Amino acid sequence: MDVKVRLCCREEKREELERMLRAGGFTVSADGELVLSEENFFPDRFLVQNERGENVLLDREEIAMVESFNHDLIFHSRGEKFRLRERLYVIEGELPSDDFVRVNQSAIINRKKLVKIVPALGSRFELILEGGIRTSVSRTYYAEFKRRFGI
Amino acid sequence: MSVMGILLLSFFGVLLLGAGACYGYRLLLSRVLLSRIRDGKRGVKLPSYTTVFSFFLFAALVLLVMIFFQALYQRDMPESVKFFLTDQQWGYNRILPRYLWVFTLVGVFDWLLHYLFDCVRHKSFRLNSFGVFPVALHVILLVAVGYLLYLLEHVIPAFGDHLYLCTAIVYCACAVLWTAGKAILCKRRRKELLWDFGRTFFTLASVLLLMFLGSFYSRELPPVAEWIVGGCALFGLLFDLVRSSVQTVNFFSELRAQEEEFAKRTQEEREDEAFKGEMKEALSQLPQRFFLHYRWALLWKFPHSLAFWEREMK
Repeated sequence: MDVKVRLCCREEKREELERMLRAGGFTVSADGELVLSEENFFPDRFLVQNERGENVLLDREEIAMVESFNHDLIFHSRGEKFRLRERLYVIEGELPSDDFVRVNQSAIINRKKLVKIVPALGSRFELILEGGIRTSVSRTYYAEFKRRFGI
Repeated sequence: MSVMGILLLSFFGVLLLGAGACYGYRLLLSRVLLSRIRDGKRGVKLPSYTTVFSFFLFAALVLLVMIFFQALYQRDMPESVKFFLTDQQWGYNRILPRYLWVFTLVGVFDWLLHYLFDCVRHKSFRLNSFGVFPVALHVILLVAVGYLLYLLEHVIPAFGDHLYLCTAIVYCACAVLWTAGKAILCKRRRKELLWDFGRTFFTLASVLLLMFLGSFYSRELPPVAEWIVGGCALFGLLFDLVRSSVQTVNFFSELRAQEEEFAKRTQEEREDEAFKGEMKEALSQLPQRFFLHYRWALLWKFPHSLAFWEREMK
């Protein structure tokens, strides 16, 4: 059986790990469903599909928001949408928690791309990100969000 | 200027001041939060927008209750209102019939027990459980039942002789129906259901005990106690009306966004089994969310939304 594995590690380790995996009968591929990731490693770029279905590399710093949609993730960046077949919690682990914050059950935002934050009644915050992307901090994540930024 | 004039002026003043202050604070908070989140600046912890809003709302409601009592005091209320708020049998000096305070007292007591039970369940004093809503709901239900008994007393005089016992029986019946309704409509998990039933039966036992004890004592209360209980009931009702209206508006805006998102989906995406499951779950939660949080306003909108989702799911 051909098992595709996606490697998420530093470049200096990549070659050796790929060799070991191949020797074990695995196929290393960017679209692999199994992910082997290195602890405290955050990739600078993600291989995603644009709206025309082309594979492109998206810089982490360019991401404004990642939201889950069906079985896919939608990356919002520079007013465009990019798709990746992955789970939100997996990507959450691949994004540095200093900059990226989970704000509700289906979205992670880049705090540096935040343009406006509007407090709302009922323990919520409405967020507007670059490119006019709107989302909100849900009640579940409200307390953690406030604690995180000391507000 | 008369007392009523001062009260009315204060009420509208608080409304205007509150609107301005909330708007200003929201702008200020928005800027401060943005700089803290984007640039990582730290500073003093600021009161939330909801706290500031609630402060003015509270002030306005207190003034409204004072206006209500002043109106009662001046006796310049319309005849229809007078009929519902006074016991003509005992004369106008006794505001609110005795049934009202008995039932209101039971409502407040029951709510306190519910709160304590929640604290035990979660092993902490959760402020969330300390809502005004349960008080208001109990008070309204019980006042309604109280009026029913009050009217029945004219048909069956024995009702008046066994006020506490009748209250306990009617209350128990209401509580059982309420819990059963909640269990069926909310489709709660077994463990939660167990807590719900446990809490209700614990409350029932306490209320029965209270009622039996009460039946040994005089059913008369000084008028001031009736005023206080009536004021609390009115305050709870008004507060909850505003609070739940705000929640309802939020809920429907969320629902509208979901509907818009659904409309964007392609046919292929709509047929996806996982997506269907997700939507079915969201749909099944609608009555629960509505039942638990949004009972008051915009009742007509709920069947509309439900129909939309059911149609889309076919």
